[in-house]
Amino acid sequence: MQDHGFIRGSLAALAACAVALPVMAQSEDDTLVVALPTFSEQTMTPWGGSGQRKTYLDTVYEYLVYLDAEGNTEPGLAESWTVENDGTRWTFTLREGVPFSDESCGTVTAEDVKYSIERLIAEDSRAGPASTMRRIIDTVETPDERTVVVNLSAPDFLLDAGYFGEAQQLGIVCKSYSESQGEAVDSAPPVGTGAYVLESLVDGSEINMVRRDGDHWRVDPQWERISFRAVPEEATRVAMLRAGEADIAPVNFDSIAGLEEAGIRIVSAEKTWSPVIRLGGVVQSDPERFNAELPWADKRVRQAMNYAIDKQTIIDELFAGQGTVASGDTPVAAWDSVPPYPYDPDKARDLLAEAGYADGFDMVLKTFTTTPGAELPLMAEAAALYLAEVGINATIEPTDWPSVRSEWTGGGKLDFAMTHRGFPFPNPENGVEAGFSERSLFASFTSDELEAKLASLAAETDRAERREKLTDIGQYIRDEAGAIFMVLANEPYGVGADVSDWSIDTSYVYNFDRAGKAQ
Amino acid sequence: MQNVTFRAALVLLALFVLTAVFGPYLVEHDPLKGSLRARLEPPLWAGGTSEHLLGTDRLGRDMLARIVSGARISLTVCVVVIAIAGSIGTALGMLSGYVGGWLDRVLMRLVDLALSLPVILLALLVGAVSGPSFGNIVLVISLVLWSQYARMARGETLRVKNEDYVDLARTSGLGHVRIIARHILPNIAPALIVVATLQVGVVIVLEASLSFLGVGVPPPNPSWGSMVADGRSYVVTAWWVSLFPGIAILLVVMAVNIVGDALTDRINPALRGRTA
Amino acid sequence: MTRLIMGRLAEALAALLLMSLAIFLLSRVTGDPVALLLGDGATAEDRDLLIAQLRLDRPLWEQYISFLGNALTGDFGQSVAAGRRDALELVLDRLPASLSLAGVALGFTLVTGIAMGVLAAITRGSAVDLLVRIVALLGQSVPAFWLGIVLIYIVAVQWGWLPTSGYGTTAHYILPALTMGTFTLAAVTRLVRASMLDALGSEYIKLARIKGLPEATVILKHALSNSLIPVVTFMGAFFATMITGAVVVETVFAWPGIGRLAYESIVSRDFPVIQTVVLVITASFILANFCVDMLYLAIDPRMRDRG
Repeated sequence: MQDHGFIRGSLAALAACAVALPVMAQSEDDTLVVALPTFSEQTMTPWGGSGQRKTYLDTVYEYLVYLDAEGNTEPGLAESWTVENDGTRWTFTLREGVPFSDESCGTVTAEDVKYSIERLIAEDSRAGPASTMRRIIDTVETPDERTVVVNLSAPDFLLDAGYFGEAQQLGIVCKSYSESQGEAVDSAPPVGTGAYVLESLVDGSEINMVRRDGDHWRVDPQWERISFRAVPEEATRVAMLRAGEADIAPVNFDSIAGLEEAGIRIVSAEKTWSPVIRLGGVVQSDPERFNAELPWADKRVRQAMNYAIDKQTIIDELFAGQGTVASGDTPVAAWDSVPPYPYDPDKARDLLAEAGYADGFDMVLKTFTTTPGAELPLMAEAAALYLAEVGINATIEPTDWPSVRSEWTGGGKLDFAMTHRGFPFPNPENGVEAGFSERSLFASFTSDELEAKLASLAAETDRAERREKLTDIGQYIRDEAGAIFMVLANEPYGVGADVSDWSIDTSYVYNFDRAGKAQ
Repeated sequence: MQNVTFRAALVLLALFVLTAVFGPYLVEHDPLKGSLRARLEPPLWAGGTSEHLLGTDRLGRDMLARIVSGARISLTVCVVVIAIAGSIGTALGMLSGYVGGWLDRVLMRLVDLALSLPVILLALLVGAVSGPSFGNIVLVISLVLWSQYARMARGETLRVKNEDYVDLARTSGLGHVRIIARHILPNIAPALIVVATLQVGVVIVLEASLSFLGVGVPPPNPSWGSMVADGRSYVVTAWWVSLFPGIAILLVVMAVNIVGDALTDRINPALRGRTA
Repeated sequence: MTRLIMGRLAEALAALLLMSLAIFLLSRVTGDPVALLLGDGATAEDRDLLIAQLRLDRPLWEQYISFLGNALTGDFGQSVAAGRRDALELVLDRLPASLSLAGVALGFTLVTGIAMGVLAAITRGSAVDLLVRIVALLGQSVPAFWLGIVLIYIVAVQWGWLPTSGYGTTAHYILPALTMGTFTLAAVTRLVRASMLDALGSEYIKLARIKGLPEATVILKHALSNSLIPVVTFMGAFFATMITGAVVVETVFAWPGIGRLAYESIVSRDFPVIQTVVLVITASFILANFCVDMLYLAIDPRMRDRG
C-alpha cells in the first residue's frame, strides 16, 4: 500500500519541480549571446585572475591604449602619451570627463589609474602579467588630475601597445568603489567606464551585461544586452550556433566546414596563437636544469625533429588551412623574415645519424587542451606519426595543464617534451623572455649566447636597433631549434546571421561591445 | 523466442571474443598508423573507397582496423577489472558473511562507502596524479565495482553457510579456509558469474565516460569508448567516427545482458532482480 | 531504534572523515594551484611568494588538521581560483541545480522503468517483453555524453523543440534528465520485471484471482505494490549513479551543477573547493542511503529487528 503512496509522491515531486521553475525565457532579439568554453576564475576585477576573463570583462573595463586592426596604437582612456629617458619614463595624459558606471565614482582621474596599476602589480594579484610588470614598474606618480607618470626600472618602448594596451589586463577601475568593497571586490559587481554594466549572473553558467544609458565616448553598442554563457563542450557550442541560440562562439577547426554549410559565418582572429612542441631540459645555461643526457641536448637532433614533421600538411588537415608554418614559438612580427624549417625527412634522418641516433630513440610527449588549443592533443598524435617515420618513437601522455606546468616549472632536469600554445604577448620581448630566458621558470631552452643577446636587447635604448636585435634573437632560436616550431594559427569563431559585423584582430581583444546587429 | 535471442547473443559474444583474439591479424591496416591526407574519409557505401571499408578517423587511421583492435583493448579492460573487482569483492563478501559480527558490519559499511565514491572525480584525480594509463583505469573502475560482488557474495554465503553440507564439513573438522574454498565458493559461484556478466557493459560504458573526460585509455591505442569520445565533435560532419564503435559497444552490451539474464533464469531463478 | 540511528550517524561521520583524508592527500599529490596562478614569465621568487600566500609551505599534516578544525566550524576555506570566494558557499550555490536535475532524472527513470517493467512482466516471453528489454538495454549501452550530443542535434537543432543546453526553464531539464536517467532505466526495468514475475506467481495473487478481482486490480494493486520494495532498496544506488554521471551530463549540457564545479576545481587544483565538493557529495550520498534505510524500515517492519 505504501508503495502506491511512493509513486504518487514521486509524481507529485515531478509536478512540483515543473511548476517551481520559471517559464521559458522571452525572445532574445536584443541580446547578443556569446558561448564561451569557460569563465575561467569568474572574478570581476582585472587583477582577480587570468586574461581569459577579458572576453566578458572588456565590455565593462577600458584601457589606456587601444590597438587598430594593424596593431597600431590608438588613444583610449589616455588621450596622448610620451616616452622619455631611453624608454624608462612614460607620461600619460588622460581623456577628460569619462564617467564610471557608478555615479559616486565620477570621472576617471589620475588617482584611479595609479590605483589600477598598483593593484594589478600587487603581490596578491592573480593577473597573468603581474609578476613581470612588477619587475619593470618602479614608481607611479600623479602630478595632476589628468597626468600619470610611470617610471620603469628597465627600458620598455612598447609599454603602450603592451602591458598598458587593451590586449593586456590593465583595465581602469574606480578607486573609491574598489576600496569600499574590501576583500569582496573580486566578486562584487564591476564598476568601469565601458559601455556595458553587469545586469545579472548565474554562477558558472551565465554572465549578463546590459548597455549603459547615454552615449559612450568610444563605442556605439548596437546590442541592448550581451549574455555570456559557459559551455565547455565544443559539440554543444556548435549545436547552439546551428540552433540560433548562440550568436558568437569559438569553434574547433574541424567544425568550420559543417558550420559554413549550415550558413554560419566563420570569423578568424589571424595568427593569434602558435602551437609548438617544447623540448624539456635544454636550459643549457643552468646546470641544475640542463639534462645533457637527452638525445635532443644535441642541436642536430632538435633540427632533425623540425625537419621530420610535415607541418604544412598538419595545417591543411588539422587546422583547416588556417595558419602558416611557424619559425618561432610565438607570433612576433619581427620574426616574419625568419624562414621556417622545410619538411625534409631525409635530411632529418641524416642529422639523426650524424648525432649517433640512426636508429632513433624513445621519447615522451605530454599533451593537454587549452582554450584556444583544443587541437593540441590531435597535433601531438600527428607529430608522433611523422616522428615515427624517422625512427623517433614518441609516446603520447595526455595530461592537464596544471600537472604539466607544475612539473615544467618545478626546476630539475626535464626529460620530456610537451605541446604548448605559445605566448601571444602583445609585446613580443616579454614572450621571448618567458620562453627562453634563464630567469623564467618556464623556459626550456636557453644558452649563454642567448642570455647575452637578451641582456643586450634589454639594455638597448634605440627603437630600430631593438627590433633588429629581436629579429636576430628569433633567427638564433630558430637555427638552434629551441623547440619544434609548428604553426602560427588562427582562432576561429562561428558567427550567426543576427550579427552583422564583428571582427577580432589581436589575441585577447574581443570587441564584443562593437558587434553589429543585422537588420 | 527467448531461445533464439539467447543463441544470437551467444554467437555475437563468441564473435566478439574471436575478434579480440584473432582480429588484429586479419585486418590489413595498422590501427595506429594513418595518413593525414586521408582523414575523415567516409565508409564505402557513403562515398568512400574500398581501401577503408568503414572510413577513416580524424588522423586518417582505418576505422575497421581500430574497431577490431579496440575489441581487444576493451575486452582486456573488462576481463582485468572483473578479475580484480571480482576476486577482492568475493573474498571480502564471503569473509563478511561467514565470520559475521563486527567484521561484517565494518565491511558492509565499506561497501556502502564504495558505492558512494564519486567514481569519475576519483578517476580525474588519479589521472591527474600519474596520467591516464591502462593501469589507472582498471584500478579506478575496480575500486567502484568490487562492492557489488561483496554484497552478492555475502548474501549468498549467509544463505549457504547453514546448509547441511557445510555443517557436516564443519563437524568433520575441516578448517574454515577449506570450508570456504571447497563448500561455499562453488555454491555461490553461479550468482557471482551472473554479476560478472552484467558488469561487462558497465565497464565498457564507464571507460567511455572516462575517455570523454580525458582520462581513458591513452592514445594512440583505440578503445571503443575513446573512439566514441574522439568522434563526438563529428556527429554531424563525420558520423562514422563515433557511430561504428558506438554500435560495437551496443551490440556487445546487449548480448552480454541477454546472456546474463538467461543464465540467471537457468542457474538460479531466485536471483532474478537482485543483480541490478 | 534510536540506537540504530545513532549508530548510523557515527558511521556516517567516520565515513566522512575517511573521505576527507583520502581527498586531501590525493589532491595534494597532483601538483598545486601555484603553477597555474603564476604568470608566464614568473621567476622562482614569484613562486615562493605565492606558496607562502596560499600557506602551502606548511607540512601536510598541519594543513590537514587546520582544514579539519575549520571545517568543523563550517569554514571550508576560500577558493584559490574563484576570487577568494567561500568554498562552501560556492558549492551550495551550485547544489540546487544538481539535485533538481538528479531528482527529475530519477523521477523519469522510476516512472518509465516501472511502467516498462510491468509491461514486460505481464507480457512475459512475448515480442513486447523482448522489445521492452531491448529498449531498456539500449540506454545502458550508450555512453551518456554521446547520447546527450546526439539528442541535442536531433531534438534541439533539427527539430528545434527544446533548447540545446543551459539552465533556467522547465524545457532545459528535459534533455539532460533524459540523458542522465536513461542509464539506470535498464536496471529499474529489470528489477521491476523480475519482482513482478515473482509476485505474479505467488499464492496471494492466485488467491486474488480466484476471488474474481479484475485483472487490472490484481496487477496494479497487489502485484506492483509488492514488487516495488527492491526498487526502494536500490534507490540510493541509483541516486549515486546519477550524481556520479553528473560530471558528464553537466559538461555536455552546460549545466551549472556541482559535477562541473568539481571537474573545474580539479582542473585548476583549487584544493578548498575540491575538498568541499567531494565532502558535500559524499554527505549527500550518505544522507540518501540513510533515507532509503529509514524508508525501508517504514515499509518493512521486519527489518527493524535486523541491522
